[in-house]
Amino acid sequence: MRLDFSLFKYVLITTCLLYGCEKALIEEDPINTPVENFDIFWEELDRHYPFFELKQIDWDSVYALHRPSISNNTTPIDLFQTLESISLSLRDAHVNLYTPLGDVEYDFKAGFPVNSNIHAFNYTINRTQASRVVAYGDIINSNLGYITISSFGGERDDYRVIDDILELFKEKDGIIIDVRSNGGGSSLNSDIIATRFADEERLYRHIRYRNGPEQSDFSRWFDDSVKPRGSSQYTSPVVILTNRGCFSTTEDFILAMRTMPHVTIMGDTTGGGSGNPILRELPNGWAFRISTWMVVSPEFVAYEGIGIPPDTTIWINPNDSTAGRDTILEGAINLLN
Amino acid sequence: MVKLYTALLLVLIAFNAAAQLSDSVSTSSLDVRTGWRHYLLNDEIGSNLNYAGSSAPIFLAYSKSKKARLREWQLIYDAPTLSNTFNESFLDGAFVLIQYGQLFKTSWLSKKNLSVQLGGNLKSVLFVRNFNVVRSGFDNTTGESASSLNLHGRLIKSFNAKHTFVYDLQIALVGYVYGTQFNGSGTGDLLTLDTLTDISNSLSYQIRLGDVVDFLVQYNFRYYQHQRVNTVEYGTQEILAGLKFKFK
Repeated sequence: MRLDFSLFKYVLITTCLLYGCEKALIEEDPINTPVENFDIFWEELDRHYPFFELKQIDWDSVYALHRPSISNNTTPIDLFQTLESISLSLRDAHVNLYTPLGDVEYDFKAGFPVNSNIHAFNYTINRTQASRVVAYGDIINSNLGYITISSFGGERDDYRVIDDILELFKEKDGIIIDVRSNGGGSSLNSDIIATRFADEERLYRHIRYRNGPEQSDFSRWFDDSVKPRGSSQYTSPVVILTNRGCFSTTEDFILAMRTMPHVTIMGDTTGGGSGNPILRELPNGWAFRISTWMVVSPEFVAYEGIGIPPDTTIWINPNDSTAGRDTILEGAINLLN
Repeated sequence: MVKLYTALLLVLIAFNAAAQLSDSVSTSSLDVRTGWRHYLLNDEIGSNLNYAGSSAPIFLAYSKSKKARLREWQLIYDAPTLSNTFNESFLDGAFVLIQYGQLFKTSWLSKKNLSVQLGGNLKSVLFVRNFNVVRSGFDNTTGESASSLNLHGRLIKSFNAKHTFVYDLQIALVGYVYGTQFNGSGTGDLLTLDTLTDISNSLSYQIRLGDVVDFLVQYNFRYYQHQRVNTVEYGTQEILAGLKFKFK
C-alpha cells in the first residue's frame, strides 16, 4: 500500500509539473521594443553571418556605433534607418530587411555595366518558351542552339524541359546558354541543367557554414560535385553568357559548368553572392535574411562580394547596345563557329 | 556515454526479467483516439521566434498481450498550423509518429491492483514544417526525421473492474536525427542523451463499457529537443479521447 501511494504521488506530481511546462522548457519570446528589435537583429547576424572576417567587418564596432542611438523611444522610421544602414554596410544582397516602411537590398550591380541580353532576340529564330523560365531557339545562319534561363527560382519541371531541348539540339555544333541577369533560386534547379552537360563527375565547390558563436566558428568544408544525370549529356562545345546580374545559385551553376572542358564562360564578372540566406523575424513584425554559408571554388577561392570572372571578358558598349547589338552573344557565336 | 550505457543496461534487465515470466492467454486491442493538441515550437532554422498553435491529431494503436508481455504498435498523424505572436507569419506542419515497443510486467514491483511494466520501444517521428514568413514573401521548409530507442515505463492502477488508471513515461536513450541544416541540405547525426531529449509523459483513464469496448481519455505531454549545428525543440500537450476495442 505504501508503494501504491508513493507511485501515485509521483505520478500526480510529475503530471502537475509537466502540465504546460513546455513554456518553461522553451525560451520565451522576446518583447517588442526598439531596443530588443535592434539587439535581436545584431545578435542574429552575429550568430550566423559567415563573412565578417572575409569582408574585414568589425561587428562589435557596428554595435558600439549604432546601439547608443536606440532607446525605447526610438521611432519605427529611425529604427528602420539604423537597420538599413547596418544591412547595407555588409555589402551583401543576401542580407535583406522587409518592413512596412520598405524593403532593403544591397545593389550589387550598382556602378557596373549592365551587359543586358535584351537584344539576343535579334540573333535567334524558332524561339520557343519551353517553360516559365526556360526558352530556346536557333542562332540565325548557323548550326548553333540558344537557351536562355531567366531564373533558377521555378519549379523542378520548369528545368526538366532541358532533356527535350537537348534532344532537339543533339546535332548542333554548339549551344549557347544565356544566364545573364539570372538572379538565382534553388541549386536543385540549377543542378538539373548542369548535370545534362557533365561529361564526368567533377568537384565544383566547397561549402562551410557558421556553427558556433565565434566569427571564426565554421563547420568543416563540404564538397559538392556535378555528375552526369538525365537521359543524355551534351558534350559538344558550350558557351555560358554572364553579366553582373548573375547572382547566388546562378553563380553555383557557373561554378559547376566551368569545370567541364567543353564549356567556356563569356561576358562579365558575376555579382558575387554565395550566402544561402535564412529568414529571421523581429518582434515588431519585420523580417530579415542572413547569409549562412561560404562557398569557394575547388581551388578555395572565395567569390563573395567579388564575383566569378569569365574565361573571356566582353562588354557591350552603349553605342552597340543602342544599335541593337549584343556583342557578348556575337562573341559566343564567333567562338563556336 | 555512461548514462547511455546505464540506460541500455536497464532496458536489458527489464527484458531479461520479463523473459522469465511465462506467457499464457493472448489478447489484442485496437485504440482509436482524437482530440486537442497544443504545440510550442522553436526551430532555429525556420525562425528565431517561437511558433505555437493547436491541432487535432489522429491516434491509432494496436496491441497484443500475453500475461507478462505486451507488444504495441502506434501511429499518430497530425497536420498543425502554427503561428507566432507578432505577425501574420505561419507554418504548415506534417507530423507522423510510428512506434513499436514491448512492455513486460515486473512482478517485483507490482502489487495487488497495481501493475508496473518496463520495456522499450523504437520510435520514428517525421515532422516537416513549411514556414511562410509573410512580410518577406519567402517560405522555407525545415524538418527532421528522428528515430530513437526509448526506455518505457508503465504503471496500471485498477480501482475496480470498471475503472483503470494508466501512467506512461518514455525517455529517449539514443537516436538518429536526419534533417535540414543551415546548409540547406539534409544531414544525419547519431545523438545521445547529451544532445537528444525526447520525453513523453501520459496519463490515461479507462472506463470499461463492456467486454469488448473501453472508453479512454488521456493527457499527454511530450518535450523534444535535438542539438546539432542547429537546435530544434518543441513541446506538445494533448487531451485525447477514444475507444479501445478488445478482442481475443
